[in-house]
Amino acid sequence: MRIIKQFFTKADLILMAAIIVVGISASLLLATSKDSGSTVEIKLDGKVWGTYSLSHDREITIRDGKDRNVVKIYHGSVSMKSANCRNQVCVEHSPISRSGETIVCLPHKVVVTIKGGGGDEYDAISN
Amino acid sequence: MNTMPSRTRKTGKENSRPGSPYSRGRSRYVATVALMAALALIFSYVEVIIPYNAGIPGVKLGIANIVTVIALYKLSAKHAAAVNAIRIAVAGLLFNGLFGALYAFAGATLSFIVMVLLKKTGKFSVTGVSMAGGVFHNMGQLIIASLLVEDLRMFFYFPVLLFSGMLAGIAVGITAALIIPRLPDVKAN
Repeated sequence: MRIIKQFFTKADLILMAAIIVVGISASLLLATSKDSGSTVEIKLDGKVWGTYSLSHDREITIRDGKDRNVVKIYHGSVSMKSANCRNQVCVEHSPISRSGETIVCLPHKVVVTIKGGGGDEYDAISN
Repeated sequence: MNTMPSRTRKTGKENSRPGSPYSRGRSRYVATVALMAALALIFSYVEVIIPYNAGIPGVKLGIANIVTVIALYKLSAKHAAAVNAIRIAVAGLLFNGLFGALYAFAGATLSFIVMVLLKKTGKFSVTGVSMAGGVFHNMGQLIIASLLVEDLRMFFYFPVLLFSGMLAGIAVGITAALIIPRLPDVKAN
């Protein structure tokens, strides 16, 4: 306590508390809103099959010959509901919701990627 | 002797202080500022060669700022600004490169303005002033970085830089607070 009084005045401590509050609230804000994507892009064999909004729950079926993948959008997260591929890795993948996350179905060459809202636009400018 | 007129014009401020023989005073200030800039430069160098890396660019202790804070309290805002500017320009050329100097300059300018303002209120101790300086140093760098990179995602660094700036500022401030009373007063000489 004596050491604190030696180096800090009351105003210092108030300022410090203010900085800490700002820091914590900013990190909470960032943690909740961080990178949550706004759209999901589905690619089939390198070509864009379609881009869908995360805000509407729906199921998308991707067909390519006999190959079939069903992508499910539910409450802002995306999962592979079912697929008739060999290994089922994509189906077992946990749901994705954050910008940049992907689910890949290698046998069918299907790539499901979450695209961000604001972030990606700024990237586009800097590129 | 022929330099006298310009001297009297430029040193009006120091001259107005009681007990300050300006003819010696100004040279003393020039020499002190140069010495402190050199010392700050050494600190910058020490900082560069210390092999620690927090993993995030911009997170560092900033021991050179000890000199800035001391200059702010022992000399004046004007002189401290000179010390700072010299250090950043030379350190930028020697260690950090042009972009490093740009970041450092933005951070230092913002942090310096904040420190001068806080000091003027008279409510904050050396530690508090330095703490705010540390925080705003990082904020200045963040602003420049987001302008240069044009990516607002830079602001995900905000909390990290805020806290690291605060802690570094406190460390620098405590060090400066310990040193300042032990240094002789430049004006008294």
